[in-house]
Amino acid sequence: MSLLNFILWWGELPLQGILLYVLVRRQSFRTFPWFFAYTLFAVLAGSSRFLVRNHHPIYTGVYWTTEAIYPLLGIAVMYEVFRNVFRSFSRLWWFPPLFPLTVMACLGLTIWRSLAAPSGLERGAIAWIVGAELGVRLLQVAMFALLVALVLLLGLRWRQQAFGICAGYGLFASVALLTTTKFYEFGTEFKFLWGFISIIAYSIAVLIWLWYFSVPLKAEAPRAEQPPLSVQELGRYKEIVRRVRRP
Amino acid sequence: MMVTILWNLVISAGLLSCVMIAAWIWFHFPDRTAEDVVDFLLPVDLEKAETLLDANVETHLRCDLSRKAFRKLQRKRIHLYVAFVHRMAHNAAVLIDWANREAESGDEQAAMLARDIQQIAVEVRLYCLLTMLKLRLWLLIRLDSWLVLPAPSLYEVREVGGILGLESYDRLKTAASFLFLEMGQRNYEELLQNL
Repeated sequence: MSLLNFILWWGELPLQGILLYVLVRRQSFRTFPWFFAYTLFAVLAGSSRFLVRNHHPIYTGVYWTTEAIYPLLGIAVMYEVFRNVFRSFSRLWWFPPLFPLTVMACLGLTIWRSLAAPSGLERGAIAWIVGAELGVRLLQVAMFALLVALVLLLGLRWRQQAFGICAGYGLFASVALLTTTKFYEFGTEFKFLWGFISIIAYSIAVLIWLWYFSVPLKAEAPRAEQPPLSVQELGRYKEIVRRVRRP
Repeated sequence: MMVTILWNLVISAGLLSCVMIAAWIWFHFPDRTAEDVVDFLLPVDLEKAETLLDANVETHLRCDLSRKAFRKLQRKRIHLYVAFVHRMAHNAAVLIDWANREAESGDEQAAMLARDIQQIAVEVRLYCLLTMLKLRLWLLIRLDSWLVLPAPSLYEVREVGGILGLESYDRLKTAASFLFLEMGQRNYEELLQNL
């Protein structure tokens, strides 16, 4: 393995380590426990792979075992982001089924595509793992596109950590899906290029997460999941405003 | 074929989102403070908007006017409400910008109010978006001209997607004026006039 390859392949591991340190330092495991679990797992999985990288059969086992856990964590993180961003909509009747429906739609599309255009590269459990990964990538892209649409249409705050998590995943997942699709189309001709682009995209995603979690945010007092400004509060505020207007 | 189109559509949406959000961050109004609010607002006559959505007023108009005259007037009323909704959406966007900033800085009371404004303003924006879609569709297919169908009723858009539009906007107005007071702004009369 050349030095460039080595750096590209393992360079994201120290970045993930720094991210884990920042998450611990900022105590972000309280607000985003699943994202913290994902990062912790990424560091552990990456370290395990690094340690056994020269023992091919063991490496293959470790690689696919850890790879099987990523989609589950990916869905959990997306649900965490969804709940965090859309807290204020939780009382609307049409809102709660949105996430499970999106997950089902993404998995359905992945299965449909696998049946329509089988890659022929995977067999058995590996096929399921790759399929689940693609499904979660699709979910991440869909969620990212949804959040960007909400930032543009509803004025949702883009400088919130939940958006940062989604932006990192969204960027990486878009590139990963594109490279996977192109890999199927062009075969192994551009294998190095696709791998290179994916690794760069993931490193940028980790940098996005690092930026979002490094910037100190004002601690938000926990609020009940009810509409802001109760009738009593509203009445009180209106009374104060009225008094100030007509002294 | 269909699955490939859908697949490529999702990937394109992801890549396009990256470009859009980068452009949005680049061109967005920077760091909106309380001083950058009043001049950017568009006044909304809430009483007039309330009248437009009043079922009684609409029923009286239906009874008093001929069928054709009512449909013509109703089209004008829809246009007027579209204008109000457009202003409400714009004002909510300005207030969200301001609240986003205040939620991260300032004292605890101001930050709490700012977070309330964020939530209510997002509700208002969502209401405006859904209402605008509905009203524009009515105008597009000229629902008011189809004599075989009943003329569209503006009362139907009082609540859209589970959100009471004017009530939410009123809450937003109150919360914004209170945050303005909290911030020690003197021109809050102007704020109330312009909201």
